Amino acid sequence: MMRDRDNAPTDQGSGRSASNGDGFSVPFLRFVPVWLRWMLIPAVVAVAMALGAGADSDIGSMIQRVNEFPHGYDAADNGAAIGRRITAWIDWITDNFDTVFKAFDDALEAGIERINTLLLALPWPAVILLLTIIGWRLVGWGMGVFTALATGSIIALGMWDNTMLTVTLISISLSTALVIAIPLGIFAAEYRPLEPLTRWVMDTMQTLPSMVYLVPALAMFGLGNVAGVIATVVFIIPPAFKFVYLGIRGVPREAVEAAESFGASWFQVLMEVKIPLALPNIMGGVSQATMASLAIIIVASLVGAKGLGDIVERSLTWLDSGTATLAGFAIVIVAVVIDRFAEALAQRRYRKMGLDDSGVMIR
Amino acid sequence: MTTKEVSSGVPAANELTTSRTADRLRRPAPNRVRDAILRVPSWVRWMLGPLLLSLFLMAGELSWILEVPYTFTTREFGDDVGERLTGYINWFTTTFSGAFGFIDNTLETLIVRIDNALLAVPWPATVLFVAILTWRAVGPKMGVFALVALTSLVMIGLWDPTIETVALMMVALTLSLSIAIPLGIINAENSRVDKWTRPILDVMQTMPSMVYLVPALAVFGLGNVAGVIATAVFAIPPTQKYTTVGLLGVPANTVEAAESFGASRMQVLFGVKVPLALPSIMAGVSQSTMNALGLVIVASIVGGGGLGELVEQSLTRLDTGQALPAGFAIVLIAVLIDRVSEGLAKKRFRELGLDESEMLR
Repeated sequence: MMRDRDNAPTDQGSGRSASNGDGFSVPFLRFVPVWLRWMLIPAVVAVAMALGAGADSDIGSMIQRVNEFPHGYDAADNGAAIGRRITAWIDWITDNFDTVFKAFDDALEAGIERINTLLLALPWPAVILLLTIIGWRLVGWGMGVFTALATGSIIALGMWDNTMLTVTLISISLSTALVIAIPLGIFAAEYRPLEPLTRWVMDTMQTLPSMVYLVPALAMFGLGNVAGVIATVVFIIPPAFKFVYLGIRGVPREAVEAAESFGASWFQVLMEVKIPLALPNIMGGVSQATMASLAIIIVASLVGAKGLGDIVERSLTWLDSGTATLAGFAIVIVAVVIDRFAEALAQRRYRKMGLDDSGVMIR
Repeated sequence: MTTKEVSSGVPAANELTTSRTADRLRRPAPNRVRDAILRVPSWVRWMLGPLLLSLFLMAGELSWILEVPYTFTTREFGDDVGERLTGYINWFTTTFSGAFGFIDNTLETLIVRIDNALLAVPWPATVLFVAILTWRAVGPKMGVFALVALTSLVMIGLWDPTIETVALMMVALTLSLSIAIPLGIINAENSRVDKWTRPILDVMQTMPSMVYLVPALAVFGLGNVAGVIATAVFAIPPTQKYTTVGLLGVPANTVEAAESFGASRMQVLFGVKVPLALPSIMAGVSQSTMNALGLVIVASIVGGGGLGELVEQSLTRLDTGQALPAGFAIVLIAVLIDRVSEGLAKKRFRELGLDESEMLR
């Protein structure tokens, strides 16, 4: 079904190149889609190599060696050697700028410690009540009841301090990432020459799986919360950046022109027209970044970040599925609560701004 | 605020003859305390409750309540629940061990077979294949990039784990798409099913990837299969969502035209709606693919193989020398898959004569 549908437009679309290639006049080649025709090259290479490897000659043994190459030890050693050299460079950097890294590490660790103590010092019934009221006022009574039951069960299951630590790590990395991403997004939207580069970097960063970010963070900061926070910060910059950038770019030109015709300076236009109008988008970016930070701070338990992720990781390696399920349950609760609250906040902002469907202000 | 004042002012202006005292009587008596309270924003007012409660708790005899989450009783309760859950899960897996074992074995064999088949192809042919595919789908620059990237993977000896990761992804994605696309079609056709499944899928989308590993590990134990099952489930929501959105977005007049020519429901669905929604579906598939890649790598925690295993092992051994090349390989694969799937979706968009910028992303 899909194959049929694929062929018909491809042939029409590439009629030009098909007629050019008709010099070969191989029968039925016309009905093979162009991209499939190109695939004949690797197919021929594969068959030739397979046949050649069987041949009992110099060429045969050479092809065999080529075939064996990636599975051979020399290639793996190659990779490990390159890795070791890069590690040596990183080590050199961390050794030489030891004091800088150490100071940074210590400062961040102290910040985490302080915020965590603060969160733990809050009386838990008050925190539950607070979250319940927020859920009720922002979303509805159903969400209020859910929040009360969910946070209550976190307490009852003894996951409170780990949950608070995860929340601490999220809030620190989120605030750091926003401090970087929001100005960067505004800059990319305002300063056109750098826009393609920034967008390319951010798009590429967004495609990378979260675990990749842990490797350099570990190399620089060693095991611990700090490596996890740094990886999280780098991981959540792209989504936040993208929303800010798109929001600022999406501000209707009439609004900007109106402000400019009244003699507003560039800065005034930015601060008083563009950013307020882009606020729902920016908030959407913040909510996306929050969800992304939750996802990676849990994986960051691999580089020694503590909290709920640590419990999941440890119980997974001990095959203790019960505890892992409970910690996973706590994670899901945190995720759902954050997601719903953030979404409701953004929606409320939309309604407050009196935004029309077309995105133009009514008021 | 202003509209209220104006409307209450209008009748007063009409009744100019009434005396001032009568006018004053008609207004509510000024209540300074109430006005002062009302001047505080409502959300601050709501926060007074928790504040008062916490002061009350901290000052009064009830301060022991604050210790509850750290006391032994909740810890014990949590451990107790955890143990009981482990018991239930073990009972479940042992009772249905036949079915799970069958799935486990089938998938494991499938993965090994695909892995072997991919490894049996001479690597220059595979590299050329991917490079040409990328070139045709995206452009010449990206094709050269694919060629260089894959050759460098071979050179640093990461070919085998890369192929294993690809095999795992192929199995997981096939499973995932064979659930997600029919589900998306059903959701688009039947609003009642949509109403029931949407909240579940929404929650699934908010859940961090690692959470999916927990039940998969409990059921299938350490190994590739647990990772593949978790990945398959994790990759369902994007494709389902994009499929539903794409099908619902097919213009009504196109559907009506087909119906007026006497097309049956199935004919309308598969002859008109699905082809028109194909770009959206492909965008969903590309997003699912990226999600799957992310989780296949994290699945090394539950014993999944491939590149993730290399990264995980070297992270736990603090051997960044081994982790860095593996991370580099993951980056290359992610960029390649992303660009190729995006390129294919864009191509399809152009073939349908649609604007690329309308593509959902």
